[in-house]
Amino acid sequence: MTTTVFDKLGGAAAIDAAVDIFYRKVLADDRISHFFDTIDMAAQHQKQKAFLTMAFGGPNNYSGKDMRTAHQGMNLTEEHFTAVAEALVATLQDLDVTQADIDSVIDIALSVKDDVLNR
Amino acid sequence: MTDLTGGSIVYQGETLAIEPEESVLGALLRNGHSIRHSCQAGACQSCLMQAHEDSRAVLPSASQQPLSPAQRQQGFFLACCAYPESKITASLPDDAVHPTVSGVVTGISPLAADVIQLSVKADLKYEAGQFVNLRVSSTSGEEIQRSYSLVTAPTDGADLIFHIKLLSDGRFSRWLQQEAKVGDGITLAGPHGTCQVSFDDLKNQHTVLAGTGTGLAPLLAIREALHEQQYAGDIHLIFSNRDLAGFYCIDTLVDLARKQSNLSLHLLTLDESATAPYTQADVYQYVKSLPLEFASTSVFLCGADSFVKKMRKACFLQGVAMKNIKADAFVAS
Repeated sequence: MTTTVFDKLGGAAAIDAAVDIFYRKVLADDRISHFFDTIDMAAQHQKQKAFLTMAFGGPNNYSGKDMRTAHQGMNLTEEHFTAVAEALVATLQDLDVTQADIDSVIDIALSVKDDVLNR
Repeated sequence: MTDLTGGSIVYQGETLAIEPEESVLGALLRNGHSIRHSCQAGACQSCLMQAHEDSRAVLPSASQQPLSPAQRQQGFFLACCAYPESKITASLPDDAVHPTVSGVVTGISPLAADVIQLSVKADLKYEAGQFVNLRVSSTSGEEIQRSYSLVTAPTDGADLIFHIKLLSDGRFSRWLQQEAKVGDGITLAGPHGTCQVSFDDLKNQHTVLAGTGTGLAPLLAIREALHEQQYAGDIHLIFSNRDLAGFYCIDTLVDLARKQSNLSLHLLTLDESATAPYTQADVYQYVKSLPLEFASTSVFLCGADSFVKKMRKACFLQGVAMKNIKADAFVAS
């Protein structure tokens, strides 16, 4: 039995803190922050939480179909995806997650790449 | 009813087509709406919704079968079991009907040129920071309903106080100015809202209460609740209005800040003619300059939607945890 990053971090309660760290990094990144200028932060926070829960291998309520619908029409490019992935890696590093676990999270994130970029 | 396009669901003002063999729940989720659900088989009732009055007759019976007769009559149905053949307008139960209590108007007094204090006697259970829908009938028989926050923390036997901003085209405003009198009946539906003090808030070192216009009202109730619960941290009450004319209750606020040692008052405006007690400042920049331990700060925001959004972002980026930012945004209607 493998322990997920989700469990190692402390489950759902710890995700709140992780989302805060991750989202601050996203909003501070000029490559992607403008996508969040007009959105409802509280609602967005819930989506980020669902996304991180999935990426950390926790209970999955976030499907590729949701990902595709949510990002449709945003004209996202490789650069945008990379920026979010970097924010994700930096968040995990802040939380002292091991490199092996970071790699497994990135694998999950990459699995939705085509949906996000609408390819 | 012949509707060649098949079933559809009107949710939050948006009409969504329902595909063949798709439920209302499926259509809402497919369109990116977050609807609580679990079993998708009519058992758990997580996806309970309420059809608006004119849609109740066309609700598929299977979607109401697991519910009580009273629920069926009020138009409740389960979105996962609803495969409608025509158009249904529906809401989540939270933003539809709630229990109501009857009250009586006990006072109407002006606080400023465009703010009236309304006092109501009613047996309402609520928490500081919440709002209710006030419902009255005009002399022409029209039902008028608007949401207003409670200004005081709950106190047994005390009248409920509301601050009503007078709007030139507001129906409730017109009723209040032209028809309302002490002794009138008034219905209170609710309470609603989640801008309340939690146990975690009491542990935080600092509290920011920030509002615009009559967004001051729930903040006053929250301040009172914190005081009653002997909150020991520093409270910063920020009342921000673009123009000086937007301020009201200032003497009361200045007096409160003088009496309560852990309460600091910040009256912010963009008006260049501002003098003490007002400060000319942009509230989104100003909040960053406050001497706060942002990671141990709770923030309560009430006022215009744009204000709430910008302040939430400003506070979050300063380091306030998202779960510690609570808000009640006013929506014009």
